[in-house]
Amino acid sequence: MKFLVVDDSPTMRRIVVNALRGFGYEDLVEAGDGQEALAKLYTENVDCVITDWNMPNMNGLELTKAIRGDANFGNMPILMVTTRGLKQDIVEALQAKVNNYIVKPFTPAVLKEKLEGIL
Amino acid sequence: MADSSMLDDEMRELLESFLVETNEILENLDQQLMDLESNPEDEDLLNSIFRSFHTVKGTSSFMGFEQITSITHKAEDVLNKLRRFELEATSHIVDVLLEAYDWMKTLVKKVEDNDPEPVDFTDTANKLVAILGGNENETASAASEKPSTVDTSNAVDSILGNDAFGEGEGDFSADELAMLEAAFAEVNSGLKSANSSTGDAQKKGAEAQAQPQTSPSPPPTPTPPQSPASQKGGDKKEADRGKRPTRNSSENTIRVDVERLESLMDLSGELVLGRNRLTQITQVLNQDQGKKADTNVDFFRELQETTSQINFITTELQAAIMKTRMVPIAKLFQKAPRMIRDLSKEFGKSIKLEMTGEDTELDRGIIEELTDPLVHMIRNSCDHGIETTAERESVGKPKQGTLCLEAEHEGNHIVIRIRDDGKGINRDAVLNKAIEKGVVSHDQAQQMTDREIYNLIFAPGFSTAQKVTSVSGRGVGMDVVRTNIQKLKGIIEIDSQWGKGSTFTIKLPLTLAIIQGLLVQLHDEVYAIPLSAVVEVVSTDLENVYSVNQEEVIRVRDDVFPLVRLGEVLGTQQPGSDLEDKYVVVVGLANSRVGLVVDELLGQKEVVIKSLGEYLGSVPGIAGSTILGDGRVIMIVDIEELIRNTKSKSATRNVSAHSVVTE
Repeated sequence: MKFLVVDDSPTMRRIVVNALRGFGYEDLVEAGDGQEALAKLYTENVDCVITDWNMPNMNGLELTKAIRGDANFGNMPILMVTTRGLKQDIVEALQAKVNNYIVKPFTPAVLKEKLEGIL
Repeated sequence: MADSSMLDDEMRELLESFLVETNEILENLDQQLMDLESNPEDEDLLNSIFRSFHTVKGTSSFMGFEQITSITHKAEDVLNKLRRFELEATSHIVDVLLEAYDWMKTLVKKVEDNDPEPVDFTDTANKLVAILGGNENETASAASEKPSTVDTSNAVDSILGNDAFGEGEGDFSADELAMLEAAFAEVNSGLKSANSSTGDAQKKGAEAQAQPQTSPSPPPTPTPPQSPASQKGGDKKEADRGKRPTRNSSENTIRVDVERLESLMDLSGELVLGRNRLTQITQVLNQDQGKKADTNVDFFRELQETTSQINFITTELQAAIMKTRMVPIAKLFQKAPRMIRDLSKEFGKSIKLEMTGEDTELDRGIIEELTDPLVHMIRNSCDHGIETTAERESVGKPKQGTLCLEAEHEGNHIVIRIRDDGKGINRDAVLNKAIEKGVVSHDQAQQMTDREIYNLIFAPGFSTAQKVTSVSGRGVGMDVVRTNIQKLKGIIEIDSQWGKGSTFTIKLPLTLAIIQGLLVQLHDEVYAIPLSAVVEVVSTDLENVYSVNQEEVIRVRDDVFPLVRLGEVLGTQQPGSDLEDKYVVVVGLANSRVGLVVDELLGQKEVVIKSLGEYLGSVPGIAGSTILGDGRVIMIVDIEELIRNTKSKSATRNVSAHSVVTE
């Protein structure tokens, strides 16, 4: 199982990566924004994307749409991790077809639960 | 993430990462906020500022730094309104955001210092809430956009089709949660089943699913400005406009612990020593080889080649490592805009800041030492130098005063100028104050040149301010400036024209470990004088040498410097030797100047400062030693000590120290 962790904040990436390692996942790649993530998707054999929403260049929502619009990995499981707790935001993420959505800050247990739901 | 299972070192790493990242964000954020004041509609800028607060809010919440989360959250809310153009970035809003920024800085510092004491930022928080108009929830309570796409699934439909769904921030009702769960489950299973199908069907399915979402604009529905539709537009623009330069540069750099650089420096120093030894051995072997014709010629040639290669590489390596310590002076200058902004508000003056040469690089250690002096000099210029708008208008100057910060390389030195077009230094006011404080006597005052008088402002506790302001006149004065510049082996000069403005010029060595030395000869010995301390060199024209209060001085144009025979100080020459055909090297430290008498000038060399070693201890007048290319060990003259001695000698003879050593 290979995860792509996308966040412009190295600290946030570390938090997510630490949690994933805690669940026993060791195969992890990181990207600093949506564009970088897309590039990684082409070069790495990724099984699941965990992405932040608000990022420079290409945000998580745009990344989701780009993934869904790409036949190569259109159905890739995507988990959105963000501080955008507004309900309308969640609705928008739903519309873009993220598999699930976590509002920061979250506990590793919640992350695990949501991941199990989408994998 | 307060997971108890998390390992300690994981937490430490995380904390380190948080601090590095947050400090990096803070470094640019205040400048961006100030830029915002002049470009309130710059979307790129607004998004970038928003993201900065947003990121810190997110990471701090994980780290459990509630106060940081709280203040950044409120600031983020304001930024969110700004970037949606529901608010305009007025000067007041920028003020309050800068206040929030200051709190963030304070709080992050507390984290760094492991200081758990909370701070009270209620005032700033209230101001932020007031800016939000107390209706922060408005954005959330606006009706959701009607869905532009109709999915085949019911759960998703029922949410997207429900205008009332998702009103407000925070907790969802149990029903809403259930609906969301169902909706996500539906998306999930839809994607999963599509995954299991194969070939074209999957492809088409994916395209079909994705298509509606990527259509550029939804059907026209009466959408409030903060609806997802406009949100999408905003985000798209953000992406289209490309990266901000600050982001760009970070891709080509990595952060390295300073300690690692320091150890690289030390190691390269050791390498130089080893290289020197190797070179010497090769030379000795080479000489021996000349005597014995039967030795292996090839072997020696190879050894020589290798030695010269290692020699070359060592030199290059050392230079490269030195460069890693260099940082652009922008790091120092970047404090200025915020200062000028705050100071002009405080004094009710209009001040424009101009900066040149921000790319000029110098040793990071020097940058650190320069921070306080620069801050003080900027304050000083804004407070005492630049006049109020009314004063300026009455003398026919432009309303707005100008403060210039300039940096440039001059040979192996860096020159920093702080220039203002204010009223200049009031010669008489300085002099009166100095007399009043007993710094100089009436008689001494009569003999002083303008420059000497200006130099009086560096005297400890000196302040000519008519009234004590919160900014200047804190009793620290220009003394701090002098002390720090002195520590850096730099010199400072003041030029001032009454009514026109003042210029403070600081000249510093580029780095502290390797210096440029002026090689001089005294009898048979060669000495190195740090070039950064050399102001100028003149020949001894006996007509310009006077005796003032039993003290030999030399007049160089308008300035008078005490004359010091280097040979006398070092004990290699009898006192009162002939001055004919000698040279005077005028050296300076901070604002003090002394003329050193030497026999010959030999030229300029790059020298690595080596301490004399414990067995020699400290030798009067000698700062260290260095090795010349030919292996000769020469001494480096200790300018600081020479100047200090000259001053105290003058003082004990009860002469006019201030007319001689200018301070």
